[in-house]
Amino acid sequence: MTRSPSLRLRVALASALSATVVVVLVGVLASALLAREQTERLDRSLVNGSPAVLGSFASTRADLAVTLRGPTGTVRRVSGPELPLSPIGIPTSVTVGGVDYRIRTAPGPTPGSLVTMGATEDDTRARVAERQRLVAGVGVAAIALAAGLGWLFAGRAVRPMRGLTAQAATLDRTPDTTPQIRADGSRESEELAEALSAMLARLHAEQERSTASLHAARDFAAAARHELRTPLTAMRTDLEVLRAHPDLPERDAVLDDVLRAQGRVEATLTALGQLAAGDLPDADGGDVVGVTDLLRLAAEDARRAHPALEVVVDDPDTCVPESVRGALEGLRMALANAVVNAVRHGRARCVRLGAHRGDGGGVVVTVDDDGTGLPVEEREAVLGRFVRGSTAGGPGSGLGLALVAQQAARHGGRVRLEEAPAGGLRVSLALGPDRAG
Amino acid sequence: MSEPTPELLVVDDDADVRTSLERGLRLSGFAVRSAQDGPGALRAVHERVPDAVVLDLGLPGMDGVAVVSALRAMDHDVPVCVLSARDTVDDRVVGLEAGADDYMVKPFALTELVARLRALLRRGARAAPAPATALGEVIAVGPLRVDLARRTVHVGERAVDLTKREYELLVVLARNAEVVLTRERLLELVWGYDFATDTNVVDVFVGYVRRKLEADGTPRLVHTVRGVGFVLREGG
Repeated sequence: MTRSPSLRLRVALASALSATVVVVLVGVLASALLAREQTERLDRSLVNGSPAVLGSFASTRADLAVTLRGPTGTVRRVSGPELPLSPIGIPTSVTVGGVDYRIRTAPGPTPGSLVTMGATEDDTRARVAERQRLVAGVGVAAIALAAGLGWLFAGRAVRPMRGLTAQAATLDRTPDTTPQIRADGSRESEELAEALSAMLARLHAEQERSTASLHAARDFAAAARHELRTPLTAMRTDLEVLRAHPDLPERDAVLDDVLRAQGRVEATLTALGQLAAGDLPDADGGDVVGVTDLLRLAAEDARRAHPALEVVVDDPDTCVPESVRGALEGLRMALANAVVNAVRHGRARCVRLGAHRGDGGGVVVTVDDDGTGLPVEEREAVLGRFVRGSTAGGPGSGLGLALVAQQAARHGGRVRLEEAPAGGLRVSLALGPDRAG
Repeated sequence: MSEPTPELLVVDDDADVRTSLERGLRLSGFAVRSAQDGPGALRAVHERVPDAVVLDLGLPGMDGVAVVSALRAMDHDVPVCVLSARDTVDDRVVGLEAGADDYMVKPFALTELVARLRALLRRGARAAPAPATALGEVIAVGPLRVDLARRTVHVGERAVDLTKREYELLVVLARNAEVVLTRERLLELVWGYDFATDTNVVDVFVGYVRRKLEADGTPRLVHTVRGVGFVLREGG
C-alpha cells in the first residue's frame, strides 16, 4: 500500500509554494522597478550643457560620449564614438560599435546645432543584475524559511492527530471500560476526539448490551437443557425398566410416570416457546382488550384446566378503564399461569379474579388464591426464570411466574406477589397507565 | 448364592427422578433408600452406611459436592457416583475432585449405571479387607515414593494428599512403571469396569494426579501416550 505524504510535509510544501508565489511576484516587481529607477538615474545624468564643458567632462570618463552636430548635420566635435541622432529631449537606447548606449539629444549652443550625449548602459545593467541577484537570494532564503517554519508549525499542529492515532491503536487492549479519547491542541482535533469518544461510547454500550444478552442467552440455554434433562432422566430410566421387565406388575404406574415426565418436557418446551415469543416486540400496538372479557376468558380457561377448582370473578370497579391495549393471548396465558401456580404450588381450592384501578392510573388484574402462600423473602426471586419457591409442590418448569412477569413487562407494567385477603397468594398484574383506553 | 443385597442411597431433589431411579435400581437387584437433599443424605448415611451412593450434583442448598466433601471428611470411603444435569467439564471435575469415584451425565442409561455400581461395589468389597502388600513395601519412581503400607505418597520431601481413587490410580501406574496402560485397562484395574463403557473419567483423574504431583514444578511423571493410554516413568 502506498501511503499519502504526511500532513506535516504537505503543510511545509504548501507554505513553501505560497512563499514562492509571493517571492516571485515581489522579485519581478522589484527588478522591474529597480531597472527603471537605474535607467532614470542614467537618463538624469545625460544633462544639458555646453559642448565644451561636456566634451572636457566626457573626455575624462570612458563611459561617456558626446557628439556635436552643426546645422548642416556635419559632426563637429566628438568625444568617444560618434553617436547617432535621436529625437530631441527623449532618452533612447542605441548600440554603437557593439556597446549599448543611452543617448539624449538637445539643442546645441549655437542655433541649429545639436548635442547628443550618451552613456554606456553596462554599469547600470551590472548594478541592476547585482541587486536582482540579491533579491533572488533573499527570495530563496524566504522560501526555505517558509518551508522550514511550515514543517515546524505543522509538526505542532499534527501532534494531536498523532496522539489520536496512538490512542486509537491501543484501544482494543482495554475493552473493560468505555475508552476516553483526548486530543487537545486544536479545535478540529478536539472535536474529532469528542466525536470519536461519543462513537466509542455508543459502540461500547452496544457491545456491553450484546455481551450481556449473549451471556443471558447462554445461561438461559444451559438452564433450559438442565430443566429438560431432569424429566428425560426419569423417562429413560422408566423406559429401560419397562423393557427389562415386560411382565412388571406395576407396569401401569411406570407408564403413568413416563407420561408425566413426557408432560413435563412438553410443558417446559411450551413455556420456553412462550418466553421466546414474549421476548419479541409487538409488531403493532396490540389489540383492544376489554377488562371484563379478559377476566371472563381467564375464568373459563381456569375452570377447563382445573375442574375441581372454584373460580370466582369479581366485577371490576366502575372507575377501572373498560379496556386496555395489549396482546389478549399473552394476558390470558399470564393469568392461566398464575392460576396454575395457585393450584400446583399453593394447593388452592378457590381462586378469585378481579381488577382495580392502579395507583398511577391503568389497570391492575389480580389473581387471589386461598392456598399456602409464599414466604415474603421469596416473592421477588420466584419471578425469575427456572426459579422455584421452597414451598413448591409437584413438578413445575420454574417458568410459570416468569412468564407472568414477562407479559407484565411487555404491557408496560409489573407483577407483584402479595398476601391475598383469603390468606393465600395474590398475583397482581399491573398494566401500564398508557395501556388504558 | 446368598450374598446380601447391596444397599444404595439415591439422592436427588426431583421426585420423578427419585421415584424412577429407586424403582429401576430396586428391580436391578439393589436395596434402595433415598434422600431429597444434602442434609437428608448425610442423615441417611449416619443412620446406616450404604454400600454406594448415587448423588445428584445440583441439589438445592447444600449441593452434591458439599455432600461428597462431608462424606470424605467423615472418613466414609463408600463409592459415590455423581449425576450431573450439566455437561460442562467444570461440573464433572468438581464432583470428582471432592472425592467422588465416577460421574454420569443426565439422562443416562440405567444399565450403564447399574454395571458401574456393581463394579464399584465388587472392588470395594475386595479391596477393603486385603492390604495385599508386605509391610514396608515402597514403590519409588524418580522423585516419587508410594508407601503402600502407610498409603502415603511423597514427591521428594513433599507429601501429596490424594483422594482414594486418585491414590489407587497412582498405585496401578506406579506398579506398572514404564508400562503403557490403556484407558480400558486402567478402568478395569482401578474402577473394576471390565465392560466397554464410554467415559473419560480416566483422563479426568490422570489430570488430578498430575496436578497434585507437579504442584511444586516437579517434571511430569504420568505421561500420555497418544492414541494408546498412560505410562508412569521418569523423564520423557
